[in-house]
Amino acid sequence: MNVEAIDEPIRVLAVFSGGAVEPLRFRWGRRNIRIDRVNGRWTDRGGDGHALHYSVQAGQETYYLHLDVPAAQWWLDKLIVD
Amino acid sequence: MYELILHIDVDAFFASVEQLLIPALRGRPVIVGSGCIASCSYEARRFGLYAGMSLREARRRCPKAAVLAGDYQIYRCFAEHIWRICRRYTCGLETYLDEAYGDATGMRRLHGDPFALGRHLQTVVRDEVGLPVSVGLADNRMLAKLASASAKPGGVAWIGPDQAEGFLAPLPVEKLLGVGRRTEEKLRDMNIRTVGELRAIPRAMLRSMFGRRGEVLYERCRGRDVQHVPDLRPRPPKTISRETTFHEPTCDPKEIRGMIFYLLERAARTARQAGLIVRTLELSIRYDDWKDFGARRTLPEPTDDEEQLYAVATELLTRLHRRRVALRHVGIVLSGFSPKGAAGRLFEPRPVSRRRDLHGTMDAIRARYGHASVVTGESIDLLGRREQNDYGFVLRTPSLTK
Repeated sequence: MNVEAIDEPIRVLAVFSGGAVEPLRFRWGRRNIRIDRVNGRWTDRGGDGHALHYSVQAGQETYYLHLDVPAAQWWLDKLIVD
Repeated sequence: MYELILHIDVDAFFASVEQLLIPALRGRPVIVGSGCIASCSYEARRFGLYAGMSLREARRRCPKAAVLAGDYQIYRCFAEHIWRICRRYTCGLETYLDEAYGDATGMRRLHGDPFALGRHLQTVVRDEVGLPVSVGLADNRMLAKLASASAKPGGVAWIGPDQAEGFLAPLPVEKLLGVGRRTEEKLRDMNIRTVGELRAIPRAMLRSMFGRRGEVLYERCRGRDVQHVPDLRPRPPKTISRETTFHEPTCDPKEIRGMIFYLLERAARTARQAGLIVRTLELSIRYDDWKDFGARRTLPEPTDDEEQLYAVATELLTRLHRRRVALRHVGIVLSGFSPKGAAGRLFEPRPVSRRRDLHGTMDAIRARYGHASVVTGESIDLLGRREQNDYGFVLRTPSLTK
């Protein structure tokens, strides 16, 4: 299993509904990646920060994303390929 | 109406989180840990793997296991989510790393019988968090924990008030709370292997064999937990400890002292938050050849001043670290607490009172911006050596004991 740390800002299309945020697709470099499903999610309220984290699946690739809520910025944290 | 105590345990916690987040790991043996197994999936347990086993032995038994170092910040977030759900079902919650106790007395009116309550909680955790949990319910903590253990993985068990003795009788005696290795050996020498057989021993004989503990065993083998359900309001801790394993065994004095200072800083901050001052400090080290050493010092006056505590810690380190062998693990334990303000401070030296003001300011900054927003003292030597997040330095195997 290959884990690649990315740590880059990205643009994400997401649905905000019922108090939840659901990412649907994102753009990384020149790639438009459609999210097949959200594997899991967690909220990190460390310090004064507030981040919504997601593990999402796109085909055989697993991506870890997070939304820095105060900064309103999405980040691509890592890519995992088996 | 009898009490209803709930015990919830996340099945193979760290490994389950990794399998949830990385679909390619599902159905495969998964190990989380560095040096030794911190958590392993049930698929890995079929190969005889268990928490605490060295990774070398684990890889020998299961070469195809996926081994991950783990991310304890993620696990913490998942645990906090589960505890928030549990608080909908209990009055107060006593939480540990991957398990919690709660008082669910009175919740039956809302959720029906205890079994239905446990099933409902389990379902909600699975739907909202995605993790498997086992739930045990009984009229005391001991039985609730035994119940959840009997239902693992992914089950619910309820021991009714008149079912305790029948449930306990066939259990191996070492499963009973308070039966450690020595007690187990003594009982096995008497050919006592189950709780039912232990129950046949008169109270007076248990007392003569084990002293006051014998009285406790007498009650517990009958399903009565003499450790009463605690008042679940926050209580002052008896000890506050911080310990960690180095990413690589090290002889670097700056790294060792920096880590000790950082652990002490975290522990002292927790003590200040609880309004406590410290009388006793204990330092423990583990060499790379797995030899453990520890030393303790009681201060003449209690304090929450990190500089005073660090001076004691370095003195203990000098005494303990005498071998030319790298260290793989260090730990700090603070104890002998008294409430802040109990000691007379009218004639406190000015540098100490100024440091107290400084610590108060730093605590306020860290509470708002995260612990890592301020790096002080010897822990500066960890900058560049250790990754940081809002919580602080990312430790290899953080162990926060109560």
